[in-house]
Amino acid sequence: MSNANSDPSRPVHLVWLVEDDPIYRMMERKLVQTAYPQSHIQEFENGQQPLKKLEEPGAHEERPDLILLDLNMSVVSGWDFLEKIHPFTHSKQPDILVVTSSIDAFDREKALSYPTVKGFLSKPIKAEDIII
Amino acid sequence: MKKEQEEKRLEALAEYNIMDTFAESEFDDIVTLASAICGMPISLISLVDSERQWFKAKVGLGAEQTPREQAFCAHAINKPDEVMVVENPTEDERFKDNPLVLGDPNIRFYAGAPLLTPEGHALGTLCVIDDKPRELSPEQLEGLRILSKRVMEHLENRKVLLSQKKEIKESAKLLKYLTDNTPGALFQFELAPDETSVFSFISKGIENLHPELTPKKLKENSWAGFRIIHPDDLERVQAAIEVSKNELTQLELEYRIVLPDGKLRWNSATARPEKRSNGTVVWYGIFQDITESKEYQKTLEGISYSISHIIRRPVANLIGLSEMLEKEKLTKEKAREYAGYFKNVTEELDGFINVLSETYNEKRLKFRS
Repeated sequence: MSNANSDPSRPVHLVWLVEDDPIYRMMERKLVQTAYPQSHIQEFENGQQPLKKLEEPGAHEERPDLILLDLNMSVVSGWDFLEKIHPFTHSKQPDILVVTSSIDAFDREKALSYPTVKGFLSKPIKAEDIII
Repeated sequence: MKKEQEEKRLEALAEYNIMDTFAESEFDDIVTLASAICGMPISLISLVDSERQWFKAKVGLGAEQTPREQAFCAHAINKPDEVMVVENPTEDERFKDNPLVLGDPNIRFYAGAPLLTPEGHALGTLCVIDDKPRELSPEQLEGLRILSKRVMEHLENRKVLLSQKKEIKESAKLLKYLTDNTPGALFQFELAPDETSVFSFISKGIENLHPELTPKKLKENSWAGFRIIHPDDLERVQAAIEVSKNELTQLELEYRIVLPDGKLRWNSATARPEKRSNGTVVWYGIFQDITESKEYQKTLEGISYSISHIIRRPVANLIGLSEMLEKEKLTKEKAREYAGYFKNVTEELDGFINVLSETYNEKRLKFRS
């Protein structure tokens, strides 16, 4: 995925997968390993876990470069995550790719209205879709 | 006269609905005029049915009717095209033994002009009678003929009027039946430039939409119709009426009403506006209960949401897994791992479909009942 807003030379060291479906998470993991063989991957089952992680001491050093975010999750949904991650992203902005089973045009427009969201991908996705 | 022809003549007579009806001034005036023109004491409009002759109008005679055997007119109608003149009945084989000749009114002269329908049936005559021997000038005979045509014109108009009245009555009856039995309520609503409003018509069906509303109540106070609308919908309803009033576009509204027990129902109003010269806007339309169709619509939206959001997820997983499987170098262990994924996803999919079909069946049963 190429995007005019992102820096093409920017290296992707750390990738977060925020996805409540274990099978899809597994598939995303394989896709990230294909797209960014050198990257490190951290997995979360809902929107709450990554928000907590950002509040931990020293979290500043462990900022992700890329987040693959599901929208429909039961605990803290992707939408809530997008709202709450705002105050944490003062210096190092992670690129967020929304990965969802929704094919709703309204969802797409709403997601892309967040400046940190660099793409709206409908499942299933391919390795080339997540290259920013 | 042939029997068949006589039957048709009697049918034609019946169609005019004239026998045994009250006196009417148009006919009374004609016999008065005929009597004056011919200078004879008696003039009659006589209509002949199978048993008798009956007088729709008369001067100079007390009787209402006579048996057909005694009727001079019954002879006159045998020759529909000419005025029958009997100058000396006492010497005429047909009439010399007639009680009307032998006794009162002692007929000594008779002239009768047939009353001809457009189809050529003679219903009876306009006749003049004297108890003295007389004769009529050609001008008087022509006058009698002209007046007989006037009688027929009145009979025709009367017939058309009667059938129109009957039609109007039947249409009115049908219209009342339709408006009373239409599901929903038909209405006519008027809004004057000074913002006063009135339901000038509302059908009985309104009682089925809201038990506390009656046509009488609404006609007395149009606000009663708005008071049942859910407060959250009222502003929208009033705004839509305003738009329809200003732009004269069809009013199409869906809103909730509150029943006395607090339950909500969805109603619709569809109406066409019309502006009168005094600035009043009148809507002609119908109120309907659309609760069931609203619920059905909601269910369909729910199913459609489930398909695009819930079912799509395992389907996307299946596609994703298949694509990965194509690229993977398959060992026995890998194959088993993927088989496990496929099993999980298809079970999940099966579960969703079961839930969806249960939900749908539940709703379907409800809508059928």
